[in-house]
Amino acid sequence: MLALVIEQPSYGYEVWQRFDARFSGLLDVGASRIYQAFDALLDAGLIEEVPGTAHVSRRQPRPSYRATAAGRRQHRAWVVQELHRDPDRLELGRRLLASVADDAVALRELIDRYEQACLDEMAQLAPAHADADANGAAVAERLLAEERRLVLEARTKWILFARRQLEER
Amino acid sequence: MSLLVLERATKRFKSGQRETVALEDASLELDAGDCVAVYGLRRSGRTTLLRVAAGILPLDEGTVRFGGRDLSGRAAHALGVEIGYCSPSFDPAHGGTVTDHVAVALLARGAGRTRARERAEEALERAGASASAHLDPRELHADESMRAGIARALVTRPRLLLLDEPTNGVDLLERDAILALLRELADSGTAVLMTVGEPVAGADRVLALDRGRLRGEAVPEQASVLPLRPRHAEPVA
Repeated sequence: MLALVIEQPSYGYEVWQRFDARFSGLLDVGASRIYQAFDALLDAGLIEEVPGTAHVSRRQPRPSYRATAAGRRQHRAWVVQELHRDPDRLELGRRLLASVADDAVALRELIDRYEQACLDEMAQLAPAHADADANGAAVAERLLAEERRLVLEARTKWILFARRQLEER
Repeated sequence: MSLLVLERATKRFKSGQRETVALEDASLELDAGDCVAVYGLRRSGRTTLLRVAAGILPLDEGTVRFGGRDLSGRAAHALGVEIGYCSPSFDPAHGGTVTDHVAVALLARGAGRTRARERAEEALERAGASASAHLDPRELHADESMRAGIARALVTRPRLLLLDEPTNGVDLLERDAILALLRELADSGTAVLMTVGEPVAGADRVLALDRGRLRGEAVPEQASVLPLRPRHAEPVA
């Protein structure tokens, strides 16, 4: 939510619409919850009302929100943290590996599946056009794609390593 | 009918007492418009796979067919015309400029000088290498060499383009442009099969090759393996 306010200061319902457009299917949050989130962000001093926007609409107040400097700092820190944290995958991998560690056949099958998932993910990497005039969003897209690609490279090397280890056993 | 079909292809190399299995029981199908990347480290068998697909290397077991024809034995008919094998190295004997090198394949097949030159320029343009046309190949940077190599492979208007590590040695920022070019060629109907030493973007399918064994979706429809992690819904842009 904070990221969406940083992207474009706006009023509650509009921010929720963008939230829903981008994350529906991943995170389903009703529109009413957005106001709780805004209250929490306001309390934490991460966003503030844009002065003079509270009473623009005649029917009801419709304040616009924008991020404070502290909000922007916190958001940057969170993004960096999220970039190198992949808890779902790590935790899943740990549990799965522990459950089959004594069963070489199951372990090989697991590695095969993991490899297939990585290969599928590689096939979904979109080629970026090296465009000097690329806008901010395209640059961000490209940076994220490269991060993804390097993660996949590390994973595929791990798969080779795991398979060799199992062959030695 | 698929354009390129490898069926249980096995290739062994013997040197002294040591026998290496470079390709083991590898099956693969490729259609026009497909862009397939085979990911493998050095000595995984990736170059052997390409040379087998080109019909340069005879197989020990299995078959390789191109356009329905068996490639083993009568390779020379397809290679260099319908199959373009891209190499970024240039033999100084083939001429002074990049255009000379690109035109060589046509000259060798009896095309006139003017015609060969026109077609070479056309191929260089298609590969985004027009700026290198008048240069000596030894002057080219890695990405320019690769583009010139692609142009040389394209000059005969092949239906299948084979590339051994098209991003090898290419500057990080130029790499994506080369991959976008290969994607474009595939979208225009040329089948593209490349080996890569790093994950790359733009392929329809990515296979892994390790010790001659090919893994992944060799045939697109027959995906039998489930991803480990369930796919989330695509966020709406």
